Amino acid sequence: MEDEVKTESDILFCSLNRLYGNRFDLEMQNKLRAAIDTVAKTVVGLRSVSMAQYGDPSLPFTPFRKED
Amino acid sequence: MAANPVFLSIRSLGDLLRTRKVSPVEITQIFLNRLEEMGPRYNAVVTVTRDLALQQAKQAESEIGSGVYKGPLHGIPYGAKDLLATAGGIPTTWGAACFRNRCFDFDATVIRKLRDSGAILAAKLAMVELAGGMGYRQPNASFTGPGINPWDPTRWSGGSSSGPGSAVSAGLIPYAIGSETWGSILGPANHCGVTGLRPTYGRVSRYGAMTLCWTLDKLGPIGLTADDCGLILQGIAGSDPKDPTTLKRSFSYDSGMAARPFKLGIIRNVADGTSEPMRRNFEAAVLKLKEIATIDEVALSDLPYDEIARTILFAETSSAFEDFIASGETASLTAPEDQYTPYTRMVLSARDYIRALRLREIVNREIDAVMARFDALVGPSRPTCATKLDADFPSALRGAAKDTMGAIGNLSGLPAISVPSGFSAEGAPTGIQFMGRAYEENAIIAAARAYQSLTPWHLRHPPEVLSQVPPG
Repeated sequence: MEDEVKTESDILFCSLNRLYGNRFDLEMQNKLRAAIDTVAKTVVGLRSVSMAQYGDPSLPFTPFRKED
Repeated sequence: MAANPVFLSIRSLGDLLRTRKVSPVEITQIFLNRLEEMGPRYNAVVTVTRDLALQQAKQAESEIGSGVYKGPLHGIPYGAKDLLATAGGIPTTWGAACFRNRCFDFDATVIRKLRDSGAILAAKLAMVELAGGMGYRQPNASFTGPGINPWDPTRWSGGSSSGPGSAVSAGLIPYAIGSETWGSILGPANHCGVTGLRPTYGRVSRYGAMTLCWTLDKLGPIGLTADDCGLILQGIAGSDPKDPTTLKRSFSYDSGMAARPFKLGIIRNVADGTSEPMRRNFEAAVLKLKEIATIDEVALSDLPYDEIARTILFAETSSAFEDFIASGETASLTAPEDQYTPYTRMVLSARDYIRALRLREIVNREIDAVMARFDALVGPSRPTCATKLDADFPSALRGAAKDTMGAIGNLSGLPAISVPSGFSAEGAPTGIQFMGRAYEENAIIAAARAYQSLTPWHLRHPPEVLSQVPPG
């Protein structure tokens, strides 16, 4: 599990750094690194559940017609 | 004036106003003075809307005087969390310094509905910046300063509806409108020893309210009693073409006696990890509830409720504030962690968000099957009492321990009400929550009202504040 979290955290941090890395100094980068662990642990927990392939998302989508 | 209006319930105040024993202008003056004089002590107020309030009070006085009584909110002042848009040059700051002078040219639907009910807007109340959605982890996260608890000025009022919680607790205002995405009504109600109602998702229009998360945000009342919250909810609920997520089901508050015994459930191990006073007072509350209810333990499936709710929160927040974050404006926020934490949510994948929404559907069905057997599930309102102003907390969403009821309740859009359940040894309030099936606000309000009829906790007020209440 620890390795998984680290891997996910690495991937997310790498993306974050590419997008916004130039905005942060080293001290801030370290804080970001710690903060992104929360996101990484969240998605790893989320993915720990297996679901049926057909399970619908809870979404309010309905096709739109102006007159309805 | 025949009676001192401070700490009177809305029902009592309404009766006095309807029978013209007190005047809307007189009571509005009293609350405006308290907001101006005592509000700064608690960092509870952003803007006192004195001119508007007196104008509305004079109108209410004239209407009631001529026999036009609009209902229980008519002539009673209230405060609105400062994420509700207000026209007329009244700023709407969202608790953030960069928006301190920002004005809208329209009223939020809730503000309009309350105006139509004859209610008097007396103040825009303080809040955690951007409703706490940027990831704050300590109380000093608003340009108005940390919310200070009227029960103990070394403690936090809770967030993100910090101003509504402390203003009602200190008797600065009879009631307030707050918002909850996860914990922002129940938390301040718990910490400040008042009653807070989170309605079913879609029960109250979000039009004109700051968006934090489209599928989690709810607006609801904070007041002194469960009965007050029912009266207020009736005034603000209803479908709204400007908010397509509002429910077509209407809400009519039923203040009559509910059938007893109530059927209550307790999620197995729900109090695990909560602080000692929260657990002790919850156990005492359960003993008291056994006088009016059957209580059964329930086991829930082992699902990652926290993670599902958090993923939806992170993803929707990062989208709602994408421009704000990408532009670097987070650097202007008060809490240092709010300046960088939002970036971490910008890299969540769409796949994970959809996964969370698929799991949400599973949770919705499972919890509804459980809830169908009960009037309410009960549990501690929060994992802890109000923490110290200088204390960090591990999570703004759930505090120091897991918040299973908060995660499920907000994830599935279920109503919940927090009422005072006692105090810690140091005098900090604790709360118990009643969480109901979707659309069953009347059931949880009835159970909470019955609990309040058996207990004195909601009648207690901060000693420091009581010494400044004018004699009745």
